[in-house]
Amino acid sequence: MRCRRGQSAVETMMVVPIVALTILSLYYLWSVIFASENAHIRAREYALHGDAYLPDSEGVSGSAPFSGSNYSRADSTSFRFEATATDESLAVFGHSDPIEATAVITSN
Amino acid sequence: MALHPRFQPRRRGQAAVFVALCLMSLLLVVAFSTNTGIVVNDRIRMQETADLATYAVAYSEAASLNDITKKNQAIADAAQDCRTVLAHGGAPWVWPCNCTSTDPGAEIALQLCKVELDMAILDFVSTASYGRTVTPALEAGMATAKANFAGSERRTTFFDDIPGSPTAMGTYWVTWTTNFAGGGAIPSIADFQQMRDTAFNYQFMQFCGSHCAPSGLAMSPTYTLPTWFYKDDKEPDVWVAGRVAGTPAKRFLDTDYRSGGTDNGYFGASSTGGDDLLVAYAVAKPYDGSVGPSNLSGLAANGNSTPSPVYQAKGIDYPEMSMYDEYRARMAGIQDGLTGGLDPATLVMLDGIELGKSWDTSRFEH
Repeated sequence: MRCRRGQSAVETMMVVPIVALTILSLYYLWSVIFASENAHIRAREYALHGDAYLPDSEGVSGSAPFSGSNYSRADSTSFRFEATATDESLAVFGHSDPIEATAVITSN
Repeated sequence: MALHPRFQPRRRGQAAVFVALCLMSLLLVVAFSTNTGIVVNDRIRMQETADLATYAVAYSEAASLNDITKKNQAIADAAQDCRTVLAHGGAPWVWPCNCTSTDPGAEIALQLCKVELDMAILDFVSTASYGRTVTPALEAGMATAKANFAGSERRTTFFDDIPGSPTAMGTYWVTWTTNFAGGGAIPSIADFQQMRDTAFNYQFMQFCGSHCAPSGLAMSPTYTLPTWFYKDDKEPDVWVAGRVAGTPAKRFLDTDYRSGGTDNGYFGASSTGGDDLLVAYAVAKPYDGSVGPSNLSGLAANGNSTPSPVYQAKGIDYPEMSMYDEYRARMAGIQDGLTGGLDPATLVMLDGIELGKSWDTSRFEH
């Protein structure tokens, strides 16, 4: 009869890496989604409120119908405001994904 | 009592079955998590698209309202020019040997005033027309939706085509009369009424004595002319409500997708319409400007229509016209309004449409 001692240890050793990998994957997925949400929201807010919401130095830049502490006067029915925001997912095994989101307000 | 080994169940492969079950479960968890992540991300992008597109509509309308206000101011300026001319520098109009109830020179000036007023009125009407206000605003909303979410597009047969919809052409009107060219009514962004009893008159010298001797000062009849416009709404607001809706184009995201049929969709919804749509709403509005004086207090709101406007033109104290071409646009909340039923509103539906696919036109591309 074959010795069965250690079978649980072997099974555990097989399952643990898979579970760990899964958890890491989910963690990475969460960080990507979070970074994407963050980038999109920051881009949108900058496209609407410009520096009043986020300074350029915070990974976001562009133009907005907002200056000082108020929205700008609507000068023309032909317009374009655009903001780009960047973020990065958390690093897993030294790998992370940069996320860039652009928000556009345009007439055509 | 232990069984004889011959009768014990075989255990070879037990770990493999266990691992396979674990893998399958984990795979399902990962798939569901991925699915949820993508759908949540889509939902956020849709909200961003709704916000920006609705704002674009409001901004375009704010720009149009500024143009309209400028044109309205031009009418008021033309009326003021008329008063200045008719005031004649404070001196009475003089036409030799004129013993009538009007002065020919002043009457010519008045006719020129009417022409100037008519041109300004028609310019206002053109600027306030639906095609130059609501149409470019809806196009801006569509362009912005497309720029932020590829594949999204305005559903053209909804709010702007259904009679009675706040956005439909013909819901709001600008109604006008001119001094020479008649009048009419055309669809507009809001209901604009016109001041039609703005009074003009002038002072002149009559020569009714013998040998054309001056017989004294007289006042002309009072002419009531159509002039500038006011927005006939309860509030000086124009609202924009936008909606972006759609379902993901990738079928695997919809866990129970059935083409053309009813299903439970992701999160228990239906991919064929109705509750299954991911939906994002946004509200924005032009604000901080005023097209023209309100008519809430009747003629009192029309400061220039006093019985003797000529004397005002001499001077002094023109009542403020309340025309401010300072419209800008801001995001708003549902709680800000849309409840009175009297405010003009533009509703824009920017549903996601996957073009070229006949199986479901409510789906958008990733």
